[in-house]
Amino acid sequence: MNKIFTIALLAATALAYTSCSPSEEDDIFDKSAAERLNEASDLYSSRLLAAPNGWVMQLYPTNEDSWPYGNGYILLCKFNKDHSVKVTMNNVFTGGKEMEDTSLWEVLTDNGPVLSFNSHNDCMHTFSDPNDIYFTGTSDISNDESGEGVGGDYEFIIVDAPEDGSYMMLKGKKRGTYNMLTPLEEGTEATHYLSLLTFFRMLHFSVNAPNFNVLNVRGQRFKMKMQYPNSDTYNTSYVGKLAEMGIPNIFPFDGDEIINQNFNPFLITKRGDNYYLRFRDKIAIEDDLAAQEFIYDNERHVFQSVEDEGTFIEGDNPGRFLRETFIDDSLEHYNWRIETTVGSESIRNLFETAANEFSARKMTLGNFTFLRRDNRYTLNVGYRTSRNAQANLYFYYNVEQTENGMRFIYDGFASTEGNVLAQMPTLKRIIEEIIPQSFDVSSYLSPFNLLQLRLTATSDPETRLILNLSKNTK
Amino acid sequence: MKETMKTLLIGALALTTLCFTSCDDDDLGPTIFDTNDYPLDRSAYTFPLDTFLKVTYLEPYNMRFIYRMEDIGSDMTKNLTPASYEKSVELAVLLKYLWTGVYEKYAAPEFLKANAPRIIHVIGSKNLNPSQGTETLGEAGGGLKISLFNTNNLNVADVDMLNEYFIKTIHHEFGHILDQTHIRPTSFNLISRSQYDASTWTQTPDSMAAGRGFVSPYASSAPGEDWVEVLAMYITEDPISWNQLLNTASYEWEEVDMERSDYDKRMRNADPDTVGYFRESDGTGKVYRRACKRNADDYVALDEKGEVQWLHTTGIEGDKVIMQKVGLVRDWLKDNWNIELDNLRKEVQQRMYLTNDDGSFKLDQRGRVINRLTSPAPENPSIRFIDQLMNEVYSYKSLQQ
Repeated sequence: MNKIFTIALLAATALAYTSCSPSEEDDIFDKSAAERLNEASDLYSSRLLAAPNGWVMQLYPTNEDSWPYGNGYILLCKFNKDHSVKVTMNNVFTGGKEMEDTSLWEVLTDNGPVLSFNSHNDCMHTFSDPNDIYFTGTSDISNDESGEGVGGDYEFIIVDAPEDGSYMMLKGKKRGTYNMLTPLEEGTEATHYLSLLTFFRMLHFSVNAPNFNVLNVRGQRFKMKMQYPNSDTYNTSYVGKLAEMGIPNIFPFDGDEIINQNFNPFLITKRGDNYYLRFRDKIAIEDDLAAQEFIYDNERHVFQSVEDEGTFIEGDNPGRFLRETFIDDSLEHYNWRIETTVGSESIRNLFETAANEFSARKMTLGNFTFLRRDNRYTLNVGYRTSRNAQANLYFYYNVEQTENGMRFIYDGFASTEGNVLAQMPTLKRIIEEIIPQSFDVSSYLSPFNLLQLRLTATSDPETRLILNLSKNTK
Repeated sequence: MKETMKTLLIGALALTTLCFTSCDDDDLGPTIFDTNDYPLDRSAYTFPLDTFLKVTYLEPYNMRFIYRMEDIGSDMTKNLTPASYEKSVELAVLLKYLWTGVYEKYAAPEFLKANAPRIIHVIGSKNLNPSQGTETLGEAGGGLKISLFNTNNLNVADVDMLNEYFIKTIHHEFGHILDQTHIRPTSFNLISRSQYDASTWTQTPDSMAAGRGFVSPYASSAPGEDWVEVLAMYITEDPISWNQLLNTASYEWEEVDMERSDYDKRMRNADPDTVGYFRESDGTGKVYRRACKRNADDYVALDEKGEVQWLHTTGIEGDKVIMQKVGLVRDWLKDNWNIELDNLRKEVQQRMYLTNDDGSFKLDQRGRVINRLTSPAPENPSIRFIDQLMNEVYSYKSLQQ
């Protein structure tokens, strides 16, 4: 016992000496904590103010996978020296109209430097207000009475703000999502900028396009398929179909889209002449891969990873997509309409001449649509008679897959169509000569949006038809 | 050897003691907190309101009116959002006009200095409790801080809303602080002792609560809430509504299950007081009605004079219970702070509603009191009275740079 006491006493003596060691009296910092926090607040405030035309904020309210909680939203934020901030946005929460509101901002120091939008802003606080989301649920069934709203943040920890002002990275204080700010170029007007982004996104990622795109990661291929919310989950009278409603499901090319599902929303921004696609989360397919942001390559028509050379997003093979929705589907779920006012000049002229032939007989030529009839591939030609009655002509074709597209083989008509063909030589030519040939297939408006395809006659590059996909609602 | 060891140990013990004491006079240095009193920033967008708050709340009462929401100072488990600047201005002047200004007039000068909370925290959004299906209107934390919610929906034209969320709530929460300073009499807790229920008050209609002697359903949740609800309701309810409350409380009320179609059939040419008031919850219809003698078909059984035979089976006379509670609150305010409850009530209501020269309330065509805040300002009839009040804030714009 005595021994233990002795050892303890000697140890205490040694500790007592070291506890007063002069080296610990030295200040690690030359300023107090409060002074350093104030300096940090001033520093990051000045960084926010340094973008003369404000910032483009890529806001992800939550880490969820479902619309509208998990999607990203673009907010333009112009911070002013008087601590007011103007926020502008145009998205599903504003009914597809531009909205702006001015409120207050401050860089707090309660959790490191924190950017707080600390007075109510109709734009920013849409994502954190607990009120029910007005457009979710239907008029009969409201499925959002949670009292939690979207559930996003309005206070953001500033985790990165380089001195060159090229970007700032904010982390949601409660939800932990990462939200990037990039400067909005001087001279760029908010309305114009938001319109450009909406147009770009609608063009490439249309809400109606059922095709997938392909994410290539160092030789591995993944399907990137946009998932749009079921209309049962929102009130369609409030919400039009907006491209931003979709969240891509990224799964192995030969994998199962449910078993292997992996949702990762993205946003489009524009800096200089370039458009960028940035995912909410890094593509975590390989350990050393850090791909998150992609730049649109106008020459290759791909989104090329900024971080990894071997990673890019390309569109699906248009020929494969046409085969899937035409031959494999037997036109059961999809129809393809010929766009008669676009395409090559010779084709446009041909359809115009055909229309004139109908007009000369006081009739109006209508749509040319490939659909399924009598279990056959059928080209339906609609027209209005001189008594303004709707009438239809049905021409049958066999179709074959070719190396680069499809071949149509004319196979007669349904009943009395021959009488019309006899009176309309240009229509006869379209039906019996132009369509029955081999076509190479390519994308038309965008390689990522295959709602419209270009069919180029294999034997004559000047014969180009544009086909437009629609869902068969019958 | 043993002696030498003993000497060594004593020496070590003495040295250790010295070493420990030698650390006592360490200089702790300056505070790590920023204690500078910075002047208000005249270039700030918010300078007018900041100045008003400093002059109205901070300097006289050391009370911080925080309208730039600090989420760290709120319930972080809830989704709450800040108040707008414009609504904060409105609320700041209203609280001065209908709360501190009233106590300034009828309480001793040191009363608010001693009892006012140190912080009024203004939140813009509602404070919803999703799991309970309820909403928290206000909070008083440890006698130091009162939080008010739903400021972004503040509408001075809607007096019921204004009272429910702000004026009644600030008097309610301030009542909690006063109750913590001078605890309410124990006799109050005994009046409705068997009637409190913390879990079912959300399902209780106003009439049922009144019949049991409570000024509101929330008052029936606990004695502490009952106490401050009596204080706040008595001060802020207009006399017509208060008398209606007492009238409702003078009857015994019952709850019965009833189909909507049956209720509609009974309502034809009948008195809603006897048929009751219908409410549907989760697909089940319920009727809340005054208890009276009924026949086998559940219709009212009149006496020989053709009058309804009201029942009083519980032994609770709600109106008398409520007034008994008011009496205790009145005595408590008088005894502890020499404040007349009825003076507070009269002042608040005369500030809220238009009065005649004799002090009586002006009534509209439907016999209701008239909102003074949205009526023309006496000094400038081209603007509303609330705008005149807010001009006190905006007058500081002239000092802005």
